[in-house]
Amino acid sequence: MTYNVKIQRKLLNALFDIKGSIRDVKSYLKECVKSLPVKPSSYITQGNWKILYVGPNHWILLAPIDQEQQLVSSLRPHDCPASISIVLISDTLTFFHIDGPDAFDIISIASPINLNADAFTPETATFSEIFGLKALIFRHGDGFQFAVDQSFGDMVSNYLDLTLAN
Amino acid sequence: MLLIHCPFCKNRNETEFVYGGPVGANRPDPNLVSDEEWVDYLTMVPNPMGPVYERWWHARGCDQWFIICRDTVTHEILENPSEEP
Repeated sequence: MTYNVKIQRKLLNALFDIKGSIRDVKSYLKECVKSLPVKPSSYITQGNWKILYVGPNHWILLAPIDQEQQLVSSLRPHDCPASISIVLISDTLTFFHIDGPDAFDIISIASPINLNADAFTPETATFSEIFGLKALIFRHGDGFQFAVDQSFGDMVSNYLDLTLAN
Repeated sequence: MLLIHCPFCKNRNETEFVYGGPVGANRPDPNLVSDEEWVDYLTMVPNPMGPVYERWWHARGCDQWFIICRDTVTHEILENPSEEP
């Protein structure tokens, strides 16, 4: 059986791990981030940035890698107040884009997460498992995007090839 | 396979979680209890046949620790247990 999907590996994105109470984070980021998602396991889009709410008092800001320096300048991770934490984690995760009519099937093979429309809505973003590894999963157009630890990137790439029976 | 309800992520597969053991008794003041009671507190782990409060860590999810009440006989996770831990 072959699957009608297109899988792309995107090595890097600009990623900032943000922790703190919503009040403190909102207050510190008010100049560059208009709002934060408040529904657990969801994300909002601001231009070509995504802000993901992935845990209690825990957000991830995702942007194209070429905006990393600009974001470092505006978020000032080293100058943030002690009540919040902003850490640049761009080099920790590698991303895979899975697009096409059978993207749902590929994620269903790779992950135990419930992908049904009532549980995994278009704005869902969450950590779960991909091939037994902790992975950040969210929708990407009609397909999905997920990220795993960089060191597992090649392994996951091989597993996806096996899933596609290439 | 258990379906565990995480307070943040809702229902997730058991494989995303790490078992953290049963919830033990609150730490007594060692100056106010007998040696026997203190040793019991340190060494006796709740192991009932039936509902038990357990700690679980959503390690491959939101990273949160939380407590559930699980029946060790049926594996049913009780939503409204009769006693608080």
